[in-house]
Amino acid sequence: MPFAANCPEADCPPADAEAVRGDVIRFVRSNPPTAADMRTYADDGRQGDDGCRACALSVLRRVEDVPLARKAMPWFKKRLVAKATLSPAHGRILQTGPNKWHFSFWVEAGHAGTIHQSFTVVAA
Amino acid sequence: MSFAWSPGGRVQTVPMPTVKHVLYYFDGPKMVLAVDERGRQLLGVAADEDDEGTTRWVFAPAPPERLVPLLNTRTGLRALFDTGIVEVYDVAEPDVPAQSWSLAPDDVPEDLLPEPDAELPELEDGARAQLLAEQVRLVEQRSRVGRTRLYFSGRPVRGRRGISATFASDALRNYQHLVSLAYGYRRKGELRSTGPIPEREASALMLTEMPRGSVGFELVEDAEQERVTPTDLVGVISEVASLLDAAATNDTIYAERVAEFDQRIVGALNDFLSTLKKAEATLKLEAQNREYVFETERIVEAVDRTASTPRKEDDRPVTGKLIGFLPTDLRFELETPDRVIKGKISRDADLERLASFFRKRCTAHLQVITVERLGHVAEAFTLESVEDAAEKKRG
Repeated sequence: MPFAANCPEADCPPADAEAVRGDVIRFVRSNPPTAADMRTYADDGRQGDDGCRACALSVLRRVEDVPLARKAMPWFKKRLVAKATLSPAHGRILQTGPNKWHFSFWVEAGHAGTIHQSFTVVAA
Repeated sequence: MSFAWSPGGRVQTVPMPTVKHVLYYFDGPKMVLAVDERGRQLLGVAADEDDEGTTRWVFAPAPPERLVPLLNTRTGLRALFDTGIVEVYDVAEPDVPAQSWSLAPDDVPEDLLPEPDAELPELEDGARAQLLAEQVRLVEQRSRVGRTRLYFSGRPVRGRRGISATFASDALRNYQHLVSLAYGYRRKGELRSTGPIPEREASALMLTEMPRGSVGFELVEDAEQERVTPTDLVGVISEVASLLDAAATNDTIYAERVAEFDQRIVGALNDFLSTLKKAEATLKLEAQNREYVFETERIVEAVDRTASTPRKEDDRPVTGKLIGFLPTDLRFELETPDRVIKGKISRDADLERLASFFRKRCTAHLQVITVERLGHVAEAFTLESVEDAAEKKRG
């Protein structure tokens, strides 16, 4: 299963990433979401300390984490909340980073151009 | 750039604080722990973003003493942003100097700050344990260096924004003098009644921070932060705070505390307290994790109590039975025909010799400090040495 060209060639997604299945939540600017809402950290030319995580889309898996993030980091209040129900063909997913409920979603290359169409804004 | 809010005040172009830990990641860091060029630890949250992708960050001082409880309970995130100078950074590109502003919390719009009931994001167990261990280690390191905070309120203070420069300089100078005298005595013993204070340089405190909450000053010893043992000044700062508290409490406690210092300190104590009284200021003093509050009534009483130097008697021989002896706490109890005398054991006393007299009759040599005020007499006793009661009789 191929992934974004800006992902590291080796071990990305990591071996323990699972096929995505079920609901994921993402913060977006537009309603309906556009391809611009699906840009990764790496798409913006940034890497941070983990190039593999940078080429994935950040998503949450629990809707109750949305108010937690918005209360703590006002940046999230500037975005809309969108939800998608995904199937294994869409890519792979793994909890990454320091916060327990953050997941990296590596979009399968064949879905990269259209993945935004899977998301629907569910809250302002 | 087109943010809805433009900060006032002086804008600087400086590097963004160096990120040490990402606490929340979502398409890049959104909450970080960072260190600025002055070595201060800051917690930053992504607060806004403009159409061109510039992220506006808001940083607040996050000393490890405050981060440990935050990591343990996840509550109190907003409080960090209410008690210090808040730094706002507009970051267009990482590693490129950003425009920044230093602002009072009240000057930052509410919708750019964490909400009052915001929680720290739930960290993954390993990350939390590692961060907590690091912060506890930093707390221990910081506690090895003299550090105190003085928060003033009352007439010299204007809201949370300003303080009379004359009052602030007088109060801080008098406080420093107090600490220097206490330090000089701890290091060299008895001080001359006037003249230079020994090792004054080593007791110098640096003004490093102006914490908010009334108007405050953080004073820190100019010492190596990574040291493994506490400096002498750490103990002296605690002792001075305790002495100030005693002066504002009652004659008996004050007599006992002041007995531990060279009596030259009483004048300095009175100078500091009088500065507060004359200016109609009040004080909250934090020293080594303890907090002392000096409201007007306590300050007025403390000024009166320290107005004259207590009477000092270097050697009062008293015969009795040594019924209490606590070598670790340096406390003693001597039973005499009239009463039980309780007090401290001198740091210079021969503890083995004292132990040999435990539960025996002896003649104790006591230093006595007497505080006389409003017709009331309070005495504090320090046991210097003992000898056999019979020896004394022969002598």
